[in-house]
Amino acid sequence: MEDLPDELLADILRRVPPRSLAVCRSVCKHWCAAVDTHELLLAVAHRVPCALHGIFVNYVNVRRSGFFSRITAGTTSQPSIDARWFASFPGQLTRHRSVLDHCNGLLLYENKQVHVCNPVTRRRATLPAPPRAQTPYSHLPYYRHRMYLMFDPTMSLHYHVLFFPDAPDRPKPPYFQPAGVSQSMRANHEHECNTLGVMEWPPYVYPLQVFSSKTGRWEEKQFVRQGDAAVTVSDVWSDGSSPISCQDGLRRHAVYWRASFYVYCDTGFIMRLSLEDRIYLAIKTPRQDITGCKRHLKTYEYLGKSKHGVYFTAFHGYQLQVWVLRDTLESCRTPEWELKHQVDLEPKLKLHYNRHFRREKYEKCWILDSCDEESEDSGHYAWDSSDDSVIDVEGGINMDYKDYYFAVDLLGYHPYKEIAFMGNRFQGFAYYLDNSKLQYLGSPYPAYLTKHDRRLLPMLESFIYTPCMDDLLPVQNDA
Amino acid sequence: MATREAGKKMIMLKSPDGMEFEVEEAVAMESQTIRKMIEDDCADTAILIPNINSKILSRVIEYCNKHVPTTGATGAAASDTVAPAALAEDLKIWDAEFIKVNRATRFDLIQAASYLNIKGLLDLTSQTTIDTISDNSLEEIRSFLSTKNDYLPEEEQTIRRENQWAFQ
Repeated sequence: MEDLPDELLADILRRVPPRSLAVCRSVCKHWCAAVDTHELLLAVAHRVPCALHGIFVNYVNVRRSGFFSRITAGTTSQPSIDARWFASFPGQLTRHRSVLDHCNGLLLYENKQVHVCNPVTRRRATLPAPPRAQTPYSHLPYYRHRMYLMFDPTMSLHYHVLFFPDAPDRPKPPYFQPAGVSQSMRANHEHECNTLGVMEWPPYVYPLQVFSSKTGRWEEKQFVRQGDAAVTVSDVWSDGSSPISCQDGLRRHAVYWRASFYVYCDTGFIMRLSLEDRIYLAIKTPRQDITGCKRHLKTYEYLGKSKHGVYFTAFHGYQLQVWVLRDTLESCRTPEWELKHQVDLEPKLKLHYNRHFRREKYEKCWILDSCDEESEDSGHYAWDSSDDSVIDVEGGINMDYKDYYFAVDLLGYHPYKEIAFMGNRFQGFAYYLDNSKLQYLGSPYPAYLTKHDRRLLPMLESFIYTPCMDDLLPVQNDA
Repeated sequence: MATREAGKKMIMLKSPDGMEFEVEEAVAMESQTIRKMIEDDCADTAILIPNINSKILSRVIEYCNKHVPTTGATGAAASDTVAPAALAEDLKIWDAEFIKVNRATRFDLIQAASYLNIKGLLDLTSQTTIDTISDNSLEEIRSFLSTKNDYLPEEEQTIRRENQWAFQ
């Protein structure tokens, strides 16, 4: 390749997708020069997903999603997300879970129908109804199912929507009759439960409904399992993760990374799908060490993406554990989880709350725009990105700290720095994995809820938003 | 030498290693560079093609022969009976066979296609390289295209950091 003249090399590189083009700069000096002198990356820069812009948050029983983002001082070079535009879509967002998924700048959301939109270009499209006949929960709204968006503008401007079938539900027990339920009916039901219960889940051939923006149609695609099955159908029943048993919908995060799609499944495993090869792999989630933890607390699990790829996080009370998925070289073997970070956040949070109770001033640098509510505490925000307002975690006293339970939940990871965003009903924080610093951001919880609604509903899910300037969504807004 | 068959003008192409190739004018004119020479009347006897050895030149002519639009009596008859889609499909298969060459030959073909300005051949030969770059990791690109990494470790670190998003 060294013998190719510069012009020819540039002509070839010009036709390489943006992501590969950026990789080419690292191949050798000659290639780097060819990319730089012809400004090849500049020509595709609008397709590269920008840095973290904020986090969309769904709250349980709240109709609108909130957008929690950094306060931008003065002008900004990046186009700002217009959350109000998002809220002004025809018909109010009526589900608990309005944002279904986010992928590289595009949002998938439900508002009676399923839509895909780009908050930057303000373009959006309405998807035809996916075929649901085969799922046992076809009467349920989409937010109770597993529906995900897959979009990689550096590879193609077309997007895909994936609709995962749920495990079959436990057969209904026979109705009680005045004459009593006959022995045979009971036996029948038990037999039915048993045969269905021992079925592997997911099945060897897993059918997926895939919508492609290229064809504009839903199509069934079958994925063949590599390796062992994760669980059986009865495991799914006992885990209580069927759409029926989870009224509020589940946290069902997915990660698109290096042409593979990773989906968090509730029953102790994740699925990795290769769309090209039509194969999938069930990967067990890491075993969590909860010795010494408060047993009555629920563990919050989160599947996310950051610097080193796919991250699995478990939050148990104040205990944070983070694993990274390490790909083994032999493709036949299952990738393994490597424990990356483990910390008890209680001391750091105590310090923060001590200051809070002493009513010490600390500035917030993030703000929640819940679309239609002006934040009540609109003070002055003298924060900018150069000012690292990290809370000093050295020293401090705990005497004022009351043993309130302020456990936090993970909101997501910075797309390429190892920063975990976390929050609870009161406060949001950024936690730096490399130096274990905790930074106060602001409240990711709508003010009108904390002030007027004392029920204090939990946050349901959150989506790290990285804007993208380019898409193929239709210009006109459909009614 | 000028005419062998009625209505088909022949052109002589010479490679720098002394080989001569007699081709139909229409075939030679697949190359925009040669077309220009012919149109400018600088191609009376033979055209010397510098920088392209006979091995590569013969392959280029092979490509042009296959891709020259079929005209005249026999050509018209052929395109009447064979659907254009089938012809295109046939050409695709032929191209796929044609490009099954080693890396060095492929790069020689890229350069020849570029010099002779034959768009179809340039697209075909570069596509394989584009696919290699698009589908592989940094280390694989280096090994498949045998490019030597001339960065110092710290230099490579810096460059990689500049395009961190691409390595995620």
